Amino acid sequence: MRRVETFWFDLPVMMTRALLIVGLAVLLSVSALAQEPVVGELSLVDPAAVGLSPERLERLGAGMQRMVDEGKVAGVVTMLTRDGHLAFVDAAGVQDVETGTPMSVDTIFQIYSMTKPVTGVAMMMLYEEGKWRLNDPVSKYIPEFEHLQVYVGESPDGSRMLEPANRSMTLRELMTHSGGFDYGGDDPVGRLYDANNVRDEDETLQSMIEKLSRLPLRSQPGTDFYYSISVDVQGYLVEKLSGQPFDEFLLTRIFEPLGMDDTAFFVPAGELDRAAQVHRRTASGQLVLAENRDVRTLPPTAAFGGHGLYSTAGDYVRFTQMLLNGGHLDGHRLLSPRSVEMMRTNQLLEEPLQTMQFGSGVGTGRGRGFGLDFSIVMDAAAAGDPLADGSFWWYGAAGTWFWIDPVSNLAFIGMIQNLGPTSGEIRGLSHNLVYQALVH
Amino acid sequence: MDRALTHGCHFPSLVMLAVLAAGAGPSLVEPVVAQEFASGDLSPANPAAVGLSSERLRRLDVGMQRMVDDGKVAGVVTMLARNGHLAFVDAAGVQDVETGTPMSPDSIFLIYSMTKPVTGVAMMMLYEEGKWRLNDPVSKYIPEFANLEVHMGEHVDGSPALEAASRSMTMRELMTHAAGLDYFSDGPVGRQYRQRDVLNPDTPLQTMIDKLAALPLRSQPGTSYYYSIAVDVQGYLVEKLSGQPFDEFLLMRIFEPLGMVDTGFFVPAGEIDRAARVHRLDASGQLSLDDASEGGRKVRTLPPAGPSGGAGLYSTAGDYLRFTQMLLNGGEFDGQRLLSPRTVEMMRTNHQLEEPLSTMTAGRGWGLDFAVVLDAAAAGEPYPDGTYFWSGAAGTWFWIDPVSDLTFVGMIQHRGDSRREIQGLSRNLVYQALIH
Repeated sequence: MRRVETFWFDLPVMMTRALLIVGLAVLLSVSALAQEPVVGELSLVDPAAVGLSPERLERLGAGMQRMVDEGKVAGVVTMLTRDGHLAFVDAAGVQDVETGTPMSVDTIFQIYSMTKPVTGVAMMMLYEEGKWRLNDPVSKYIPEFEHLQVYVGESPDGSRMLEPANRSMTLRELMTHSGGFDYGGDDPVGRLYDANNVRDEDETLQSMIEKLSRLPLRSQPGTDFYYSISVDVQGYLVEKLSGQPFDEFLLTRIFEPLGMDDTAFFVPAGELDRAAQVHRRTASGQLVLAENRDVRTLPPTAAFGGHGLYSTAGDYVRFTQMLLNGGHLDGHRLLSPRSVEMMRTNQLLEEPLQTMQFGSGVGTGRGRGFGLDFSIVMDAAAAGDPLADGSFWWYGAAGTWFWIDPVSNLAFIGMIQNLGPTSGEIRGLSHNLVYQALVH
Repeated sequence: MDRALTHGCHFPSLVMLAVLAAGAGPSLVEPVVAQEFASGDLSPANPAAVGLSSERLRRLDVGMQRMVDDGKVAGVVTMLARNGHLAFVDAAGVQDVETGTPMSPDSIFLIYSMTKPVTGVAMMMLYEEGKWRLNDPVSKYIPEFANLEVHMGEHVDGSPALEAASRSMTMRELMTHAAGLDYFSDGPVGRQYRQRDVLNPDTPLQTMIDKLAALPLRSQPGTSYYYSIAVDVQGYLVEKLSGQPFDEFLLMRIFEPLGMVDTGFFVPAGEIDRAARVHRLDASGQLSLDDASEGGRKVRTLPPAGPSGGAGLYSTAGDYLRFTQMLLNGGEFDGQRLLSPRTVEMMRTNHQLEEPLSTMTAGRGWGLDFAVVLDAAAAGEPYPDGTYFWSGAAGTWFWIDPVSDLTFVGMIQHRGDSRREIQGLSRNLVYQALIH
């Protein structure tokens, strides 16, 4: 009669156990691969090798060209990656309707609010150093914000009615435009920002903070999603918490490691011939250069984390691939996978989420959420878009746009320099045309 | 004794493996992309090879035959595909109680609203060409619809109380019957559709649009679901956006690539002997030809001037199964790709927003020209959540189950309660045969 212990030395059983252990090891390695997407280093491949139909991709190129031919944009550069490889690269039209310089994959663009996710990554790098937490009050790091007021309306005599903020806004609220800040523009608090020149590239970020500390919020913290100056405040925090000037932090800790050599808060004078100019359409449908959109050739005194960067499609695609890879590229790790996941998960609490899904300002829309400096597709069907649920994205005032789809493991970058509704049109068109080409 | 011990030894390791396998599952963002099954070509397979019990499938056979024997339907053709293979084909009864011609798998049926998903696929093919987007106002493509009014009620003197539409209906609302359009209701707007002969297959689709432009909506856009003429409007849009006549678009871009050789807006004169006729139960409960319907005594043998994207197609079970298998395959069949997988996924995902969704039947949502099962338990049905389906006024029915990798097509030509009965019966009988 065998005792229970001795069966472990039974040869067939040992072999079976060995097989099971090997099987476990295989499963563990397979499962590790399954959790992290294929680590891409952005080599150019045949689209068919990465589940795209070359024939259907032609519609994407044709669609972008058609937008140029119809005079809707002066030019456009697009890139699509799948499974870590570049599967589509295209440049159509011109950088400048006056000089006729053709668009190229090296063309430099003012990416405006596509700066915001970069600032967000900088913030998360400091988060990973234990420098701040989501539920911390912002006033813990910016004592100037300890006693903010909130604008509640206009009294009969025309003066502003204010009440104290119930509490300090939190870091989470700062990272999701729900802290109560405005952005400037044609509303009571926005007009105050503009009158006080809150964002002045020739001053310092500290001076922006001081101005903001004297101006009211537009709503109580945590109640309302409103696209705002929050990310410029984040830029200030990156500086304060790291002890490094904001633009230097981005350069040494993000752009250099990622090889984003053409990304900065200005365009060196020697590279100006690569800079696309911003255009707009006249009433008669002509494309002309837009006014007051000159390219900056010297570093600004204050680098604005909400809008200041210039970049190229080739640079920004490295940034998006770093995110798709779970925080690293080419052997350089900027963030852990969990931090990237936090950035691409809705972080808006219920009350502000409602205002974002049913509101009408910038960034609002059904089926959407907001992560840490990214807009998120929470419900593509409600949003009415082919971007898969879980996609995260943003865009800039001169029409540059991108999205990252972690489920389909793809990223798309589109770069134009355009003001007006055709920016939304080309962006929407690209959504349809990319997803119809994805066949596996 | 040894065996019992070795069994006991394996179990904890297997449990560990299972736990690890479960842990190595999806990332924290729930993948929404459809499971990729091998692309099916509908080659016949033994039911057992595709997870069906042959013995239990006999109940399906028997059940359909019983509906015929009990005089509830004149005849029925059914087909079932699983894992991309044809696993069940059955024809029972007759095409026509007067001629006694037996039903066959090649019998031709007027599929009425099973036309709608076909029109939907045409619309999505144009969506994939970048021709329109879900949140676009319909008036962007149909300027005649720019200033519609809404029928709110009646004044004391009986005249209609109208108010301006709050905005243009959106393309999404057109694809989900939430645009405020009517159909055949007995209400004031439905009556006007009939009085003005809005749905007239013998006039061009533009005429329908012009008539609709002069009529009010039955509700404000986006406020309620009401099964409507919207898909006929889609047929018009397919024509307008593609530059091709609607029936030609369907023929060249859907029926020909998919090999749906018996599908069209009419039955060629030489094929009339294959046309099953629409029946109903007469006053004495006997099956007789339905004189009132197209497809009863009269089958259309010439192309209509204004083909109806909502109800006009004739087809066979075999043809329509190729269509549903294409969808189950993620948009491709037999080497011909019509749509990308993401587009098919959109079509089978609920796109009804909360307000109109709340006016729909429990457990059901609406995709893009398909009903979708949101909660099978609430709906009281055996097919799983995620199934998408529809049916036609003469009782033809189908469903596509992307979870079980299965699709069913049933064809009868009948008006009356038998439709609901045979359709419900088929669902019970199919799922009880699905054992793997």
